[in-house]
Amino acid sequence: MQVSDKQVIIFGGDPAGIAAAIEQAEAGRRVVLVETSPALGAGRIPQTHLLNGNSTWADPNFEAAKKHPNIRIITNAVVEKASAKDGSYTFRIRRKTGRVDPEKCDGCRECIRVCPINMYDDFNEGIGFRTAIDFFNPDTGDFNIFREDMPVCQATCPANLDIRSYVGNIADGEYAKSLAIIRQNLPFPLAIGRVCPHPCESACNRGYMDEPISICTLKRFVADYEMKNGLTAPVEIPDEFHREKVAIIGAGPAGLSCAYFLGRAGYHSVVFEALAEPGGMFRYGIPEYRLPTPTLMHEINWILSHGAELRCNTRIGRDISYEEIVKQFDAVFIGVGAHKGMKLQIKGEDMEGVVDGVDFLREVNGGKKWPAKGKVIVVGGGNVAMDAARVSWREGFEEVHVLYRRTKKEMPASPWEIDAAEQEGVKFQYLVAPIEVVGNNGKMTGLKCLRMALGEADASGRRRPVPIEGSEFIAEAETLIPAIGQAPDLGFVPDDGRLNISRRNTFVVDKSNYMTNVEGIFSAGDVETGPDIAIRACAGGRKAAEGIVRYLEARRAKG
Amino acid sequence: MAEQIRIGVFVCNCGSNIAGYLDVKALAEYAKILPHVVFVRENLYTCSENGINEIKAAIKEQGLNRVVVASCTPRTHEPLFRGTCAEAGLNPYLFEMVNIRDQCSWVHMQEKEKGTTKAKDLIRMGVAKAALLKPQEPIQSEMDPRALVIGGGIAGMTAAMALGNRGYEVTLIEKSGELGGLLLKLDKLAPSGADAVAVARKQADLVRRHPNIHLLLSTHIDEVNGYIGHFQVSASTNGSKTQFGTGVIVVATGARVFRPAGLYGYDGEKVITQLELEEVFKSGAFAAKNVVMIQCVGARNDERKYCSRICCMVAIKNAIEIKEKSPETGVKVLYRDIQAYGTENEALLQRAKELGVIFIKYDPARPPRVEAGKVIVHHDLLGREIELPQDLVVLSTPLVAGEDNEAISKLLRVSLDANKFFLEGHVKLKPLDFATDGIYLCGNAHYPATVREAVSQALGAASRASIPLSKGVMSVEPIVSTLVDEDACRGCGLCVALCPYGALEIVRGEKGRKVRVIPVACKGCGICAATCYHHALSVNSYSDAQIGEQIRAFLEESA
Amino acid sequence: MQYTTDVRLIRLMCTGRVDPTMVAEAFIEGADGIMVVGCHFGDCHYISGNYQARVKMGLASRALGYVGLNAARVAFKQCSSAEGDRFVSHVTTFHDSICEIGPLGSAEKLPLPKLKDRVDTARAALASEKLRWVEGKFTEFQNNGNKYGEKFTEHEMWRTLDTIVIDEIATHGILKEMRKGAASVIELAERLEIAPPAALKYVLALQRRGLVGLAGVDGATPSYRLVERPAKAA
Repeated sequence: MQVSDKQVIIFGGDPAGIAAAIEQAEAGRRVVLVETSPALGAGRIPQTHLLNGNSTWADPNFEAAKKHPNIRIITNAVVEKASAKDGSYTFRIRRKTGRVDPEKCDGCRECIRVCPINMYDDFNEGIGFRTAIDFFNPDTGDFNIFREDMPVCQATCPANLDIRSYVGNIADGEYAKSLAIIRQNLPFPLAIGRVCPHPCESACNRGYMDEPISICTLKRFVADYEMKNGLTAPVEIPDEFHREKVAIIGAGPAGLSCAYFLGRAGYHSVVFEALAEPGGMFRYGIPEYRLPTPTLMHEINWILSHGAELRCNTRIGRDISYEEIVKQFDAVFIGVGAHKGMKLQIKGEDMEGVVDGVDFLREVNGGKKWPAKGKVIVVGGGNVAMDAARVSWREGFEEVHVLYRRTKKEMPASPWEIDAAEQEGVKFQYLVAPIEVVGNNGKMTGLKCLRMALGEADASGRRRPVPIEGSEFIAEAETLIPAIGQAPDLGFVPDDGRLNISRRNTFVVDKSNYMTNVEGIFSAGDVETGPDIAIRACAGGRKAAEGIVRYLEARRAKG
Repeated sequence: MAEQIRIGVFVCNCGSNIAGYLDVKALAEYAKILPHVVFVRENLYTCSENGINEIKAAIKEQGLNRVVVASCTPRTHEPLFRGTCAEAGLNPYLFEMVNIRDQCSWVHMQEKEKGTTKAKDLIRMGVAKAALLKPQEPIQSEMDPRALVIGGGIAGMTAAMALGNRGYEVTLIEKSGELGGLLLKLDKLAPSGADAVAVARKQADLVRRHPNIHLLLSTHIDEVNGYIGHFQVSASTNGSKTQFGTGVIVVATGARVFRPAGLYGYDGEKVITQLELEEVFKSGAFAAKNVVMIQCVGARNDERKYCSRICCMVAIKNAIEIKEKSPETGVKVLYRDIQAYGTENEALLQRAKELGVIFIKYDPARPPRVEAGKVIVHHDLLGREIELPQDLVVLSTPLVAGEDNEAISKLLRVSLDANKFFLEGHVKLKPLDFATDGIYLCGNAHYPATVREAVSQALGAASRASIPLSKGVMSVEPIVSTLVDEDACRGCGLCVALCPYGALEIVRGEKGRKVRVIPVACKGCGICAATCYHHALSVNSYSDAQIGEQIRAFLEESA
Repeated sequence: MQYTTDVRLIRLMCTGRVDPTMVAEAFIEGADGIMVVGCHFGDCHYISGNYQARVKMGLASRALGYVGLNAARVAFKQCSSAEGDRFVSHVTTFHDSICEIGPLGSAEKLPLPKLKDRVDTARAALASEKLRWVEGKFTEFQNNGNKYGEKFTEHEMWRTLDTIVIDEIATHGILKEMRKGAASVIELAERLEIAPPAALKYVLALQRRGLVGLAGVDGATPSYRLVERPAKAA
């Protein structure tokens, strides 16, 4: 038989799926049959056979499909990701844990008698119990241990923290154990416990019943407990370090996470930081009232004790060249973040009085007292805009206004940040877009705006604002802070075009090891993902560290 | 035909210890009416020669087949009364002791009436249990006359030599490729000034040439099964497996020196450990002009609460060596407390002071700070900070438990203490034995020790180990688990998993998989009997029926 | 060093010997409180017996508490053989708390026969192999993890055990009722004071395990009875 090189994938191992698989296989195609339950034909059994309980049901196609040379059966599996390109599809399929050896199981059912765990019986829609080890349905046999999958909170967390274990340990009063579990995946429990918008809590199943578990605050509690009681966090590094050294560009969440995990694996690193102090967006992006600097420094000093050396005030391309670093070190990690504010792209944006949101926050967090006077307008609806507005209010502006072109419902900022800003007296103007900065002698006096209405939903699912004709008005203000997004500043990268850079000005990396297209150069954090939450940068830093370790090991093995 | 149960009860006055607080006459009268009791006698001292003779006479004349003595604690007197029964021809395990002194008269001195009621209950309970007692025979088993020593440091080598010299076949296992352990890294030994490497080499030579010692270098232990007299060991040397039997095991796995990474700017060059200082001595490269030693680095803190004991003498010894090598070099020792126990050590401390070594006490709340070219320490007497010049800082770090301790403790089923050192069977009475029979410990595996201490412990452990070896047979108290209902046992193995002594195993016999008790290994704790859901296992003299009868006897009158 | 005359002592080699069913039996016999006293953790004369005892006593107090007994009647305490004062203080504290609770049945607000019947159901559950396995594996799962190396926290282990206790007590209550004769799910639910849908789940689970079978159908209501288990293959 002629076997074509085209593969067909069929989802669902019920009689129809099996029949389709055989049809395709007979036609000479290679077939992959994917079934979510542990056995083929488990999902749909003819009602007649169910009522007549003792007869063994078997679809004649069932055995044929199992034996067919062109059919590859993957049971107990789910599709995680699918993508299409040029008429061909790529799927990522994850097999769930199988813990019964089908070769040895003779179906004696003794395991069911002794298993102490009762579970929801999905075959009988919950009328009875199913034990944790059980057959999937009475006719096909096929025993399996039904294990809970990764809990939703852990799956949602970008760093995949083992939340169930560390929260459970806090419940037991085992604070040190809890922290040890967190630190296996994240070196920043103090900082993340304060700033994380905690997507895990939104996913928490307890939320269906009453309220989600306060995962983020619990993490903060356990980390604070250690710090406030003067307990020393253990430093887990090997006795001997390897001789290779890694350069880390950027002492932010990604870079420091990378340094931490490299230290644990026995590699020294040198962390280069352009600004005066380490911390990146933790230090210069997040306001003091959300994350106090002494707390952050406490954590960073501990991270640095994992064999990392910090060199501040060292900007690549100014104080040391990029080429020099690549030459001196065995691997390079780039985690410079996204510190360049996006332009509003309107007239008059270069006037005095206009300052970008991230620049404003960096200056204030760096200790500068802002010459706050009169009114300030913040444009944008994200957390950076909220931070800028709340910091402006603290700096002493008389009035603080936030302009956002959609409504409160569409605002991407965390709801508690919006509430806090409102409480503090920040005034929100919704459905307003800036169109021109107006002023005298290059000095801003006001912002020309346009009112908007909501139209159709766009690609992000949010309704697109459309301008209302003739609704222009001028809002008077001395200061304008645009905070509509950030992008990485890649000025230090030599423009020999060797490093692959995306349209959004981010690095393109291989997600399996976080290596860029250039060997030995790794990247993660905002400079790789674009602006995102801190814990994703931390997670990226960890995965990149793992990639670097594998890379250096492989290089050593080659000699 | 069931034998007729004839119980004799002896109530002891213990002088006035019991009779002074309880109505002993009433107790004796009460005992007479209890079921199966055919003979009661009140003694002034049951344990006196008179009392003993009365028991013997009563067994013979009255045909007693159970004896109950209501007196003091079985901890001191049970062996005596059991012996008495045996002398009179009664199986010693048909004896039961009721403690009406420690548990009654002594703790109820003011309540004669209530105390007497309680004593009646206790006697009733004892009699009820005695009626169900069964005769037992002591258990004997032959010894495998070989020994295993784990660890080829000075302690392990000494123990192996001592056992080998007594004529036993010894296997000595060392995980590294060389004999000598920690000594190989040291320079000179205090207080003799002997060359450490020479001492190790000399002993290693003797071990290598000893006809009774079988040496396995570069070897790891994979598995240990069995019990005293019958251990089965599997080990692998560079991947090739060996198996052998042994009667006893000596654990001499040593300890590691703590590496003070991240403490006091430790870098292995300008800030080094005492061990590294000794390596500098050995290489002849010592050239420092101002040496500052800091004691208790990484010891006696929250993480490692213990004092490593030997580091003070190491520091003193090395300080003297510096002064002798180069008298103009300044040596300052910053300490918390000095451990210089014993006459020789105290003399060395005096000698160091005479040579000009300066000792400065520091407060752990205000630890010294190492800075470029100087060490700053708060001087308690001066009440201010002083600066000490330095071109070499030496940190005295504790010995910490070997990294394999956890693995070995699991293999041997022996305990570790909070710091992962091995835990002896009893602090005072069994300092060289483990709680498990047939396994002994010595040297740094137990706690930081000097060479001299390690050697004396090794000789002691070897001596302890040779006691069962020389007897050739093991005799054990028969208060052990027994498979009382073979048919009930389903061979599930839960008891095997829980047994702390490895005294149970599953064997396949004519009736299928069944548990088998290894009586010589069993200590009679009864975890298995309390766990078996088919009540197939029981503990001799503490069976479910016997304990249940005691409970019923207690509650039958009060209910 | 004096303490109350209300206690009676039973000497055992190790607290690990205390079968949780013995605790239930003592209450059935009429005890007002039971305290198990063993060595300190890490100091067990029998290596790990007190860890076993801790779980066994925790389980006993949970199971007995679930059936309505005041759980404070069960205590697990520790002291070394050299700490007479501590022993006395344990005895005194426990005695005081039992005096406060009052004799068996009074605090529980249940007639004694009914309470004892329920304790007997808990006893059957405590004797069951399911609880024994989880109880036996408790410390191992916590410290070394299961076969797949997954460790569980104290909190998770007790959470699991709690649900098993509830399931097992219901299951053994049903089995005990059925020993008296065939019964419908509604009848069982009434007698055991549990919700009928829950009772149905347990009956169906028992049927699945082959312990219970259909006895007949009365109108539209099926009734169930115990199934004689075939003699175990030797």
